[in-house]
Amino acid sequence: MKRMINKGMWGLSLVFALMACNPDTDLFDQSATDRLEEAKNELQQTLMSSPQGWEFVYFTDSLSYGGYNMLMSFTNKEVTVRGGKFFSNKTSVSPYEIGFPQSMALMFTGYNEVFSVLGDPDENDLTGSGSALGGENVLLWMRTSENGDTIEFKSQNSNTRSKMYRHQGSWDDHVAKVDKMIENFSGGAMNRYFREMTTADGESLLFTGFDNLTRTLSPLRLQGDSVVVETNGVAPTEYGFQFTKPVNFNGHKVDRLAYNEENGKFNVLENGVMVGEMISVDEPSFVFSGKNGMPLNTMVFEPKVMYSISGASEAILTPLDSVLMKSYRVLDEQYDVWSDYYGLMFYPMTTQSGEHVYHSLWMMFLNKGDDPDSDEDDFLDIIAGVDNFSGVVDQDASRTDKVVLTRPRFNMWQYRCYEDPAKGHNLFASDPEIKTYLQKALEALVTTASGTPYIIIPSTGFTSFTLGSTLSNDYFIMSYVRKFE
Amino acid sequence: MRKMKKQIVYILVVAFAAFSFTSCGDGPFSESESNITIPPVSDDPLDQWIMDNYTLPYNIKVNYAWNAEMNDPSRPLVPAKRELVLPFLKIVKKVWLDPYAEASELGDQFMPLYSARDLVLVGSGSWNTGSVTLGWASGGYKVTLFTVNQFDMEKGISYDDLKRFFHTFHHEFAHILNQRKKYSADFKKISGGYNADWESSNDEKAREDGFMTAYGSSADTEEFVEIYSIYVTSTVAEWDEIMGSIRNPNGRSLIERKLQMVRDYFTNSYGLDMDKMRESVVSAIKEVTEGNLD
Repeated sequence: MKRMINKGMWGLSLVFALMACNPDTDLFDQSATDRLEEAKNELQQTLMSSPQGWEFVYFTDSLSYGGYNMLMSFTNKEVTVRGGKFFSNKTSVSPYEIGFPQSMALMFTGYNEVFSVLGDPDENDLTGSGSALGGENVLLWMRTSENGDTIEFKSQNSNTRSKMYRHQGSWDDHVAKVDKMIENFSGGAMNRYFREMTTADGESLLFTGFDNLTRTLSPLRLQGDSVVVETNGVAPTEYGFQFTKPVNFNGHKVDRLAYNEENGKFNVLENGVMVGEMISVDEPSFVFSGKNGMPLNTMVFEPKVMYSISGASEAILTPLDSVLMKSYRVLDEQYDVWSDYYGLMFYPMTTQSGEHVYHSLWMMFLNKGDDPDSDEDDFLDIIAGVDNFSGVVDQDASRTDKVVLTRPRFNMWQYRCYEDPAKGHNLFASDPEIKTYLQKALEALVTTASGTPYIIIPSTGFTSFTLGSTLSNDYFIMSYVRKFE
Repeated sequence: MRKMKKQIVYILVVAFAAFSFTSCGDGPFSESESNITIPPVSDDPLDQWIMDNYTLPYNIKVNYAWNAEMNDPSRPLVPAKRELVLPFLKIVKKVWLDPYAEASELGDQFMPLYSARDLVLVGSGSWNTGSVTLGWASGGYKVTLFTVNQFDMEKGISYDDLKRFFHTFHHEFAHILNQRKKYSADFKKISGGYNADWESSNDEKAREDGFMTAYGSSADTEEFVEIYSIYVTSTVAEWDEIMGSIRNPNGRSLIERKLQMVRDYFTNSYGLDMDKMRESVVSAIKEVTEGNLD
């Protein structure tokens, strides 16, 4: 045993002696610091190498938003960003850095009036206070193509991929073409809320409308008795649109839409190959159902259930918002109301003499200190609106997910407003223009004298309903507020 | 003897092998070279101003460029607009840094000793459900200030907006001071009923119950700094109006007892006179609203 231990120790000593002066084997020629610095310089040189800059097709967040198109050019310290109509045609210069927060990243270290707006939650030209469009300040570098003409990034927080493409040509021309493409997608042959992607063998996939603010464009798929909204988005380019993520459709992975100048529709592409067409349709080919199979057109206008209008296309939102803002300014002086709690409500009521149901459109405000869950101070909770809306809500028997909002006879809307004797006046008396604004809001909801038909799309759980116009690209969203007992 | 010789040789060989193994090679670090590189001082005028007015006198590093490591990437936030950074820092110096020098026995030495070491500037507010965070303190050394992009002197800043912002700033800084030196546990005993669900209350109701604000009613740590920050950012008339509006004498009495404890804490722990502090802060806010940033 002793001999074995001795021999073992001799052996180990020999091994140590032999290993002792062998130098470490380096896997790389350079230190880690030098390699990082080289990678950083390489990316910066690539960014600076394009005389006409880069087209950045920026997908901010794959869950809630689509993509935005802007042009960028880089010096060694600053980036110039140009946006189109969506960004008020601004050009903005701001500092940037390339660093290593997690991995190599392009970081927008100063505020840019074009790029940063997408991530700015404070009130800006695009969004109201408290919301943004998914933009971030750090883009993690993923890869540069071999020819150096495409650079792929990943948003630090949302992990959504976006690409920069080496740009050639005039910036003005590019911006004008992208703006035109957005118009092409909303007008002419595409001027309907509902769209369908179709293939030659007759298969089709329904999509919701295109929202130019959020850039969403979502397929709707039937799963048994339910319809599932599959969140997706698009970004405009000079030639058409790119999807945030490929759409699985009839055995294809569709990634782009390309505008067809001849017929005003959009060709559907998979890896550059045309596999179908996208067109506008007046109505979906299937009927949405309500909870437990209840007809939607009855469900959304059940008595004693109140909904707020929580979103709408621009044509509807602008006049609605102007009513609310104007009313808020007037009411804030009179009643010290909260600006954070106001909305336009569909408010079903029953008359005392029977069970006849009215649907009314009301503006709701709360005065500061009020309890939103209490009914004690309802006098100031619902201020002004249009009464007897429902006489003009036609529930289409042919489709149980369709309603038609019509105008009253002779366009004579009935207005009502609570009066405060202590103040000696009411909202309409304080500002007669409020009625004019309400009229504009109603005209945005009911666009023709014969009425505007809407198809109702329920959300999962039936907590909100999107009403998509069958006459235009417009829509509005009703979200559940409460049920009165 | 032979055996002993063998053992000695054996020990020597092992020792030699071990020594060779450990000593071979000139490692990358030799005593004569340092691997720490100190970045050169920037020649950017803004950085120079910060060095002269924040870093050298107060030992404060200002981070105005977006720093991915210092900000939460999961929140929608944007960098400060560069052209607004200098006026913002002048305002902060006037309404935060200078008053402590004026009101404390330590004078100019107060901030170098006790200030946050890192000031992080963010352009937008940090939005929550139903509220916006204007600032927060972390770890006793860093204060993050939001909404810098709203401090646009060309558009003008209202007295109320300035007061609201600096109420938050002094609130957050007071947390840092509390983290350095604890206040007495007796403070918490003055009013019971602290409740994390403060958002269902309002300031008026909270004062009737003996709390400075609804937010102060959430925890004694918040109540302490709310009393301090509201006191030093209110004029005498504004403070008297707040106290005069409280109908419940017990509620008023509770706040006054807590105020005395806060006052004693700052006097004894930091040599800080809260009335002098108030006078400096209020006067500074007034001057900023009149456009005087210097």
